[in-house]
Amino acid sequence: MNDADLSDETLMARYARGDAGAFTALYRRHELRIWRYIERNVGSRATAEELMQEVWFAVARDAERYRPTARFTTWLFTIARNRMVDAARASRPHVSLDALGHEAEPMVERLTADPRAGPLAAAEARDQAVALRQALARLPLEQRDALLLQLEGDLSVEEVAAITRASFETVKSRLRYARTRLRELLTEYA
Amino acid sequence: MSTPPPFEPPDDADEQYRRASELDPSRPSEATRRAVLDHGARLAAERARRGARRGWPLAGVTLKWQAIVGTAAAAALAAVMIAPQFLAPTAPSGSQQAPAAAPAAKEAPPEPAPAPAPVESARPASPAVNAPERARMAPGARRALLGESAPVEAAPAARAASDAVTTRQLEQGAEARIVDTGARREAAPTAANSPVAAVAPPRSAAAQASASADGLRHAAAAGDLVALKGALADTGDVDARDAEGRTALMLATLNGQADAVAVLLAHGADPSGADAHGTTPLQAAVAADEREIIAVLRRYGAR
Repeated sequence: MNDADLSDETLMARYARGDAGAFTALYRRHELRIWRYIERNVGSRATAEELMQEVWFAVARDAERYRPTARFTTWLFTIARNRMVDAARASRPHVSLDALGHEAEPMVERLTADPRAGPLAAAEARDQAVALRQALARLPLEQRDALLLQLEGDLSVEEVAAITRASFETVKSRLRYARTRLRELLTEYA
Repeated sequence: MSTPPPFEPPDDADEQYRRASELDPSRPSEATRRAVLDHGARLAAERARRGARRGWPLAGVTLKWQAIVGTAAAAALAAVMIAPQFLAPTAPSGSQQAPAAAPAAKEAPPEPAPAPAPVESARPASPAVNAPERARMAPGARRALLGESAPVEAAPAARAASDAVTTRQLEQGAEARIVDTGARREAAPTAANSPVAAVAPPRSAAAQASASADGLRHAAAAGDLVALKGALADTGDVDARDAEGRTALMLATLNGQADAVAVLLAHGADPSGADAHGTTPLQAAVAADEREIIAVLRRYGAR
C-alpha cells in the first residue's frame, strides 16, 4: 500500500518506528494547510518559516509519544497554535506575531490599516490572494484564529473549542462573526 | 430526526476563502522544507538504529539455538557413523522403533533431537547380532547419544558460538554508543582508559591546541563553567569543531547547558555555526525544546 493511502495515524506509528518516508508523506500532506494557518495568523513570512520548522520538529520529536486518541490534524494544529502563542510570549524582537495575545495587532493588520497600503492597494492589484490576506488581517484575532483552524484544519467547532480553550458557544459565535465579516471585506475588495 | 451539523454549514464566505486560497502562491521556502525533512529523517534513522539494537538480543537467541541444534545434529550424525563400530551388541526390543527413525537419521535434520529414548534401549543386550540388525540398532544409539552425550559434546561448541554472538553484540553495541556520543568518545581514551595519559610526553603546539579545543567542548557539554572559562582562556578558537563538525556551542546546546551556551555566546561563539549535517544550534535547541537556550540564541541573532 502506498504511503498516500495510509491514514495520518498509521503514518505517525510508522514514523515512530523509524520510517522516514512516513514523515515525508505526512509533511507533504499537511504542509500547505499548516503553512497557511501560521502565515495568515502571524502575517510575517520570516516568522512563519521559523514556526513552521518548530512545529514539524516538535511532531518529529514527539512521534513516539503520540497516541491516536485524537485526530492527527487536531494534534498538529494544537502544536502550531501553541508555538504561535509561545512565540508571542517570548516577544522575539524580529517577530511581528503578538497575535493571539489579545493586545497588539499583527503586522499585516498594521500594514493594512495604513491608507497608503490598505484596501486601495489591494483593489489596484486585483489580487484575490492579497485581498484575502488583508481581509483576514482585519478580523479580530480570536475570530481569525477560529476561522483558520476550521477552514485549514478542517476541524469541527468542538475541536476548535478544545484547541482554543473556549466554550462551544463562544467558538460558534466567533466563527459566525468571522464569516460575516470576511464576506463583507472580500466584497469590499472585489 | 436529523442531528445538527457539528459546525455551520459552508457558506459563500468559505467558498470565497477557498477560491482565493488557491490563488495564493505562498509556500514555505525550500530551505524550511529541507530542514524539516532532514530533521525528520535523522530522527527516523536514530529510531531505526535503536529498534535494531533492541532486536539484537533476540537475534542472538536465534543464532544461539541455531548453533546448539546444528552442533547437536552434527554430533549425532558423527555418532551414527561411529557408534556401530563401538556398540556391536544390539538393543533388543527398543530396536523395533528403529526403522521408522532410520530415514530421519540419514537426512540428519537440524531440528531438536527426538525425545530421548530410555537409557536402557541403548544398552548392549545381545552380543550375537548381525550387520543388518546393527544397522537398525544405530538409530537407537543415535537417540541415546542425542539424549545423553551429544549435548555434552555440543556444549563447548555451542557456548563458543554463543560467546561469539555475545562478543559481536557487545562490540556492535560499544561502537553504536561511541557513534552516539561523540563527546564521550573523545573523553574515553584519554581519561578513562589510558593510565599512560598521565605520564605522556610533552605534546606539540598543534596537539596542545587540539587538546584545549577538546577541553573546551567537554566543558561545554558538561556545563562545567569553571573549566569552560579556563578553556576559553586557553583556546584561540571558540568555534573549534569535533569530527562531526560540532562546536562547543552546539555540544552545550545538545546537552541542555543553558549557562554554558550563554558564556560561549558572550565569548563570541558563532550562534549559527552548523554541524556537519547542516544543523544549527538553534535548530537543535528547537528540536529538543530547550526554550531557555532558544531564547539566548535568538538574542544573539541565531538562525
